[in-house]
Amino acid sequence: MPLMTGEQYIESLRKLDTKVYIFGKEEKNWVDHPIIRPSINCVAITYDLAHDPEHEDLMTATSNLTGQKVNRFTHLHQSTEDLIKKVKMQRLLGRKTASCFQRCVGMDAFNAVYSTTYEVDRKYGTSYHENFKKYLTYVQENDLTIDGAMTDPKGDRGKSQGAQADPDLFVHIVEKRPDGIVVRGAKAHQTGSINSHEHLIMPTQAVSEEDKQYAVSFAVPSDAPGLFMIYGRQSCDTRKLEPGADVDLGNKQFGGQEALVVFDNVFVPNDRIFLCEEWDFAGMLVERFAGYHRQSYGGCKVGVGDVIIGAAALAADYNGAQKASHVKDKLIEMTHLNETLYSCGIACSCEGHCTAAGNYQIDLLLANVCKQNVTRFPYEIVRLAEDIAGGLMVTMPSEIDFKSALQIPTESGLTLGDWCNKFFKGTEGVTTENRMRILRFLENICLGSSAVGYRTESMHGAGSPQAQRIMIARQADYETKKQLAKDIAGIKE
Amino acid sequence: MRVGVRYCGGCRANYDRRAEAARFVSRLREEMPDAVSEDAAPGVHYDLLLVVCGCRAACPSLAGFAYDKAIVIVDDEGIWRNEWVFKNNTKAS
Repeated sequence: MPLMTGEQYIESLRKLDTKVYIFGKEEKNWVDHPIIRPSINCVAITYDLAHDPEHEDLMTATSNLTGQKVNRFTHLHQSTEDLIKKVKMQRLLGRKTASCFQRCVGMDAFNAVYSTTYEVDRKYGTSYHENFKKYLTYVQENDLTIDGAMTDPKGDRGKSQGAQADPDLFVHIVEKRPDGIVVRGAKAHQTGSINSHEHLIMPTQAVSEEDKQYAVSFAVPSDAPGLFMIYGRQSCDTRKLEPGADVDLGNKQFGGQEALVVFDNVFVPNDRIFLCEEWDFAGMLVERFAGYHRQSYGGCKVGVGDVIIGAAALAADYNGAQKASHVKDKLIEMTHLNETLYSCGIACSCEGHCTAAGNYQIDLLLANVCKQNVTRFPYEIVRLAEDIAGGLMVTMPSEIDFKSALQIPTESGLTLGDWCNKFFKGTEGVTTENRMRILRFLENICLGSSAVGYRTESMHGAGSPQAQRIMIARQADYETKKQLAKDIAGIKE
Repeated sequence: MRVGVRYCGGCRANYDRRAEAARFVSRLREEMPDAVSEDAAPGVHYDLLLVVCGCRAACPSLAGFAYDKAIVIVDDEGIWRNEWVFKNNTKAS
């Protein structure tokens, strides 16, 4: 199949028998559910832009497996240029959607599993790499969206996988059969999982030999028997259920999505297994996926940041505050923070290297520095955006009130809408509705449903801050730096 | 004269690249009325490849594109008039 369009992608989701639960019941028509659909629109644009001559240079690549043109989200990076273009593509999509477009987890998983399986096979004589190449060829030829799934529920963080009171708190193998394995457990916080055709599962952390049943990587379709998903609700999500909702949503068209993905004894055939009890490679797989995903945030969040900076500048214009020196300075600070994140994303890509399998890996230290900054800078960016926007962002009446023809029984005889528009008018030449729209956009991204993607995902997605600090410590190479200091200071010992 | 228009991915383009390409071709036709432009496709030979970039990084891949001469546009302020010329897929100084 050639590259799908967004519409073809949406129709392909309808053909799946994916089991989705939301607000206490199974939702059969989840594709058109008003809370879920904006996140599907977000993935759809990753398909549409691949057909656009103005964007295809970033959105597509030539597959090393088939020689065919593929969506970059299914591509194995073949050079540092590919790594850079990945980040640029993510910035582009962040600018287009102001949301998490969800397809990065699959791309990052492909690249991590590809290089890791090569090294597993080299040590153990297994055939996981061939399994994976066959699988990825299928993904590329069908232009699929894949949920690269890593994070287990984890239960008691002070205990290892096997020491948990409930063994299902980490995905694990419960049965080995001649034709495959049976797995059980769950993956939490899964971005775009409902919107994915398949799930590519990886361990969530390093595994010891006694817990080797937790060292497992595999792929299954979203509608595999025994697999179901529970939608993760977001702040203000039920606004999307209000009839005719538009302005109050802030971002009507696009949004992100997370869900709990449950595996209740799911069968995985042998050719879909990429790691099976080779416990000493679980850590490598985690480290590589996390590295790629920490690079990703140096692109996607920057694109969203571009839109926030633009919205804050518009809010200042509409408030008539655009000439105030402190407002100008805050916009400069937001830009400085945003471009610093981008610099990190580009830097860890430029300093990438070739793996033994042949695809390219980012520079691990720089990628972790990138994500560490992402755990902080977006919070400062939205703080400054709220500062510029003013309190009206969270205190203004609903759009229904602004449009209401209800006559208020006072002397003026004005309607409810008249009163709202009278008192919430900003500068001349700007409609109250447009002022309301930009403030609602900022509300949505700062503390509404999109804050899930821009704020908390920036904190915990691709690993919480401490995970990056551990990796930074491992990569810091203090001994070399000590020697540099000794050499300069004239210390001989 | 067959003109192919190749765009960068547009990650942070700050002008309308398509409109600028059209403006360039329109001016070209004043000198060469037979100039015909299209979105460039790999494997098709172009007398001129117009590479329209959102910024001076000018990063689009030209692998697979065949052309005699390439001109790179990097903004909407006429930078294409002289420098920024690619020849045989090699960026000239």
